[in-house]
Amino acid sequence: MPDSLLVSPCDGSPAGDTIRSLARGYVANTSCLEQHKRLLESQKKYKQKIQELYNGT
Amino acid sequence: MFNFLSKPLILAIFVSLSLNGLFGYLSYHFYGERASALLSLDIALESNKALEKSISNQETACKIADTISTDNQKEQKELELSKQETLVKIDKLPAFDVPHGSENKAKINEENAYVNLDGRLPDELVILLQSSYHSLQRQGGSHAR
Repeated sequence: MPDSLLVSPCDGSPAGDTIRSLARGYVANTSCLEQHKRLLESQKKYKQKIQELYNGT
Repeated sequence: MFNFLSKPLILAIFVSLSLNGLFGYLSYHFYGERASALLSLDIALESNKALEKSISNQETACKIADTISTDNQKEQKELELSKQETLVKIDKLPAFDVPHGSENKAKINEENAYVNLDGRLPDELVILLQSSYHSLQRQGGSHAR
């Protein structure tokens, strides 16, 4: 697995103490969740391709 | 004891038998060595083929890793850009959004420093948050396909 697929793309954001910071945190965390999903998809894709390469399945 | 060696015919036969034996032994010896060398050559050829395949597989694996990493980096940048755009929009929202008229603004500032937990968020903020969420859902959906 390449190193670039083993690094967390982002960290969670705190809510802060205002509605604005809460909104910023919501946007950042929702985006972060999607970034992690994409990373996981890439890892799965890499694993599948490598299995196909070496096992010929 | 070796009187028979004095007869040339018998001597010739003896020498001939000795040479035949020697050639026979050498032939057997070199045949064995040749077979051993052929076996080693076969093993070396097989190893070479396996090594070639291994190198080819590793090169393909490197290309796969490179492609997937690049795609992932691109997607991460797009998501980061989209997030930054939404954050900028949130930062640009006015500090107060009073739904029932601006006359209440001063009153809210002075008497109520805290927001009502069950109160509605400003409409513009709600739109931005929903837009951000649905944009990610759409991107995630199109990516999964």
